Amino acid sequence: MSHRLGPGPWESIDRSRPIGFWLDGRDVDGFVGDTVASAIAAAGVVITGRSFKYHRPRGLFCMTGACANCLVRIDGVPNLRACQTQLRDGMRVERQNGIPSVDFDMARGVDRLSFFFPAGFYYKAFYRPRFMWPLAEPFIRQVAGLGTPPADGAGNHHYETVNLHPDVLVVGGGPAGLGAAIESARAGAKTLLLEAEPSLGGRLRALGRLVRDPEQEIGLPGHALIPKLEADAAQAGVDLRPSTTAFGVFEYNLIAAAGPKGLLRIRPRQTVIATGGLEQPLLFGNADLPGVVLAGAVERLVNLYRVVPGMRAVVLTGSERGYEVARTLIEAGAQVTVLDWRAASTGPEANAAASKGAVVHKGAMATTALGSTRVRGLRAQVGGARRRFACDLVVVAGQLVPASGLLAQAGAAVPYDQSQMAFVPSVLPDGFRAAGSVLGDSEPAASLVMGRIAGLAAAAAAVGAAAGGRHDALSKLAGGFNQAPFIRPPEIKGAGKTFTCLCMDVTTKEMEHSVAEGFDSIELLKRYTALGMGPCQGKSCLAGSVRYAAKLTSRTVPDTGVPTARAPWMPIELGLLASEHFEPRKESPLHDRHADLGAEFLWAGEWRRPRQYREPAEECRAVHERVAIIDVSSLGKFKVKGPEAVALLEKLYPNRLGDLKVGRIRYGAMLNDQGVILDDGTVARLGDDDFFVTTTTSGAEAIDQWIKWWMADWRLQAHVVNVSSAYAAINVAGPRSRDLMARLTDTDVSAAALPYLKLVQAQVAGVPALILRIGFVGELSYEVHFPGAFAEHVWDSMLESGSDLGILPFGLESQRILRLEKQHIIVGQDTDALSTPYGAGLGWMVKLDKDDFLGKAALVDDSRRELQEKLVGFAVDTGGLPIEGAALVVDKRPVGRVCSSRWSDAAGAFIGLAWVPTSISEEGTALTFRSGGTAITARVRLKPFLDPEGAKLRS
Amino acid sequence: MIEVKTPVMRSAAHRSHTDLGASFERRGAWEVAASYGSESRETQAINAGLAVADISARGKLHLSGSIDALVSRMTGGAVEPTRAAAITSGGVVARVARDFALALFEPSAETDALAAVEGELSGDAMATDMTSALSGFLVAGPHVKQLFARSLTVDVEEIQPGRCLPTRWAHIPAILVVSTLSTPLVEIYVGSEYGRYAWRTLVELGERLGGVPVGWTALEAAGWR
Repeated sequence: MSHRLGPGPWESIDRSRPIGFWLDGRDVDGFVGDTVASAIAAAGVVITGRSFKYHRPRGLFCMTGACANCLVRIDGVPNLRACQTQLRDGMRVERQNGIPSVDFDMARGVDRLSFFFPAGFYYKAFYRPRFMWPLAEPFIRQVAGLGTPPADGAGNHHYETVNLHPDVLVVGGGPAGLGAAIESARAGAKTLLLEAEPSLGGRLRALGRLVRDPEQEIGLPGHALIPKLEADAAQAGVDLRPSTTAFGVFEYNLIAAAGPKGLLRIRPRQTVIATGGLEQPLLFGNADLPGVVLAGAVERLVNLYRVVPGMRAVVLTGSERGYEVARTLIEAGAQVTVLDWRAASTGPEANAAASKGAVVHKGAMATTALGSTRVRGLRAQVGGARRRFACDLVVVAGQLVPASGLLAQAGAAVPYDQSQMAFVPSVLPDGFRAAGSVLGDSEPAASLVMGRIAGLAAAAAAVGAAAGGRHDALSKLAGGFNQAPFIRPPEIKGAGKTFTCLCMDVTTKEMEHSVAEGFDSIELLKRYTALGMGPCQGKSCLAGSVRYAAKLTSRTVPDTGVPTARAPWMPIELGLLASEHFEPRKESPLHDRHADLGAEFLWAGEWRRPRQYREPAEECRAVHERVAIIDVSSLGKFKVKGPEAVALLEKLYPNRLGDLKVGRIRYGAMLNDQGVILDDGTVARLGDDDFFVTTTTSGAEAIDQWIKWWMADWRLQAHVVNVSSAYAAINVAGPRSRDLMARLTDTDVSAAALPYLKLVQAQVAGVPALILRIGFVGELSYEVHFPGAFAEHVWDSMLESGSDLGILPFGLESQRILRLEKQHIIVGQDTDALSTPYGAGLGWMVKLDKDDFLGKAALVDDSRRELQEKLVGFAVDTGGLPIEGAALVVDKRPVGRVCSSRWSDAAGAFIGLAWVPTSISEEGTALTFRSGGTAITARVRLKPFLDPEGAKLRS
Repeated sequence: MIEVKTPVMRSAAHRSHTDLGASFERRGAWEVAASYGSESRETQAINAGLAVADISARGKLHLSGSIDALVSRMTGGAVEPTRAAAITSGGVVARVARDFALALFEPSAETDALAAVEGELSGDAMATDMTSALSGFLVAGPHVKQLFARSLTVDVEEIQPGRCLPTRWAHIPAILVVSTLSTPLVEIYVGSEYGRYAWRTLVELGERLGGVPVGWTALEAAGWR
């Protein structure tokens, strides 16, 4: 049965376009223009869900997206606000948190067991005897919470991220926001307006009262003013974005917003916050029952959607606003009783409501709502006497407090205003302005004028637009509006639970217990009780909670304060936060070739590199016995050129490079000014003042910055160009590597012509290349560098030419085994932020007699001290493979650690490198590692496990 | 030495072009994607929609140090940092910073250009062939700004013809060079190790905005050099 009223003058539904949707499997009708919430209400459904903790029934409450009472699951996506979601044909809507259903919830008994679940109950209950918690936890997890995660694929859509740079951003599409946007755009500023709701207008939408806009000759009903303002905004060129919620303000005034398609990252020059006010509930017993609603919700339901939420209403108020709502209900056919907590009050709306038949009681306040699944009555104190009113609707027309969350995040001061009895933004941060009820409850007409003034000022600040006479005229108008002071309702204790936070089911009793336990600051109360931590983020509970906390702690409300404002200010989908889909990765120009060869990839910093193509043992055998190639394109590569290139390198490296002959290569490590190893690689001399320098893969970018940093200081006549990306590199290793190279180049690559640590520039497979006779893996090898765009050609040529030699590609895993067999270190793996060349076995390269180099002073000191620990090789005797990071223990105390460890077929043992105290670093010293709870014994091995004299390398 | 095939240069995103159905042609030593099946569709995208293309084959020289005089000689006038200008003998100089410019040429023209430039270099300037170091991509069409609004944190209004923007695009370091045909056109240069990533990103972003990959044939027909 439909609970719709007849057509109304400003209804937002299109009765000529009925649509159907599914509510908990039931076919329900609605109209285009409905929200899910209004359609549910029109279907006569009162309970919209069950509460977070106690499974209490909840119904529509605010209809503005500011509470969590109407969270539903739509098409598989949980926790969507029904009042902010436009109804679509065929939608599948499910109410949440009922076991098995919201109407017949078997978990509703939890409400009667609430003494088991006080704030912080997990510290107090179910922990003794010890078996209790494992039993209780699954039950608690099953019962508590809001919704269930979507099934795979449900709601799995793409969220895009868009960056916007308006001159002026206006947040809020009510009268103040629209006024600001119109003036800003007319002044020539590129203006963007965000409105969280699907329609613009804010409070004006459901307002029948006349509102005087200075642009219009006559006052117009609020709802009739919206199309005019919208048209003005569109004509002025405002970028209007409804259904778009600004939810956070971040560094440098970056504002994040959730739009229909995804995330907006907005960097405006100026921002006008016009987020309006938030209606606050009153604290009385069972005020969470379905049928207890805020005044704004009634106005929207009746005026926009033509649904009357109850026919016997009690309106609780202390202002004219309550009477305005009473009149709306009476005109919709309801019987209305007004309980006004003021002892005496008159006004045009009060008189109008009374004349239409509202029964008015002065000096009255509710104590307890009655009913089980919806409100059936209300207990109240009326003039000192207890009264009971039969009703099916209780309307709360209380306080409107500033929706200042975004301003607070931006850094605005939000002090307590005694006259408005609310925290009101005062000093705003640079780049921010505010207008309308966000600065305190204001009439729509006043908000409109304030917005226009703020928009003009923002445009002036953003683009230098002249405000001049227009600003003066508007300011004069603004002076004609007054804010009515708020009169606080009396607090009378009633029966039943009194909720201070509806989202998280926090009651006054829990707050009392928490304060008694010492959690008496508002920040601690928030954390201990979860007050204000639910989907509404305190919008519909903070004012009352702070007041109640002040009462409990005997502090003033200003002294009690409000918790720190944090994003997100409005609930957003988690997917939105993951919408940034850019995941950069570095890939070699040979990446596709590796994939074709079945490579298994691993992350090496930002790089994707082949870990292995087949069993590493097989790859290692190819290196030891035949020929194999590895893609080392990711190495850092630099060209160093200029008359003072030598001087530059001499300062960067601890070893001597000035005497390096043209065509020769030298290994070197770069140190920081504390003498700690930063990176290692080779320096190849191409000409007198022309060098080719390589670094590790992971160190390339840092070394680039490091060199530039020092170049700026040293001002040497040398150029350093990072050519890491320009050159691909392939290392050809193994006893048959010379045979392979000879097939690919006309240049003589024999041992005599191209010995170890020599280079030659040559054509390899027809491609100009630099061939370096160096090797990391211990065998005869050639490192070939060439322009990266030829990479596939050279790689293919090598594999093809070497097929009869038994050539294989090898990956990083094999490389790590092979270099361990030679005890070659990997900087970062085998060194840390304290490792100097002396400890790492690289002391031979340090030339302290050089003029100066980075780290020299520290190394001079080091050279005079006895080394505390050394990096040494080890081979395991018994116990298996010690994991990397395993502790070296002496007398049960950790004294060192394993840096690298692998099984080596060639060595026939588990081998590795470890940092050990100098006292036990002699050849053959027994070591004991603790690895995964196992004791592993090993012996120090100071020489490489294979080819200790380097004959193969130099062959 | 055994016989090897003629060396061919390929973009980092070569395989992706193959997967997208590209036909290839030679431009100098390069094998470039000539078309993805329909030149008319690609031309339409350039003029009225959104086109993305791989232009990694462009020759690229890295000019560093005191390059004022060199750049002036190349372009026939001063070029301020963050501006781009045509080279009188063909190509474009993008002046990224006071001491760094990128000179862009037709495929395989960089070797001759480098020889010419090195002849004019003063002692405190240096020229390096960076053709393989940088992958180059092109975005053209009326919807260019929509694509950049989704991948660039700086204001897309900065994308004006004649600009050269060193920036971060899609979370990686990039140089944008803006010119114009009949529609807006932006060239993006990134480290070649990011080439595959950048191309994937462009194609994905482009697809969502109705864009298509276009080949060199359509680009050249539209007047791009």
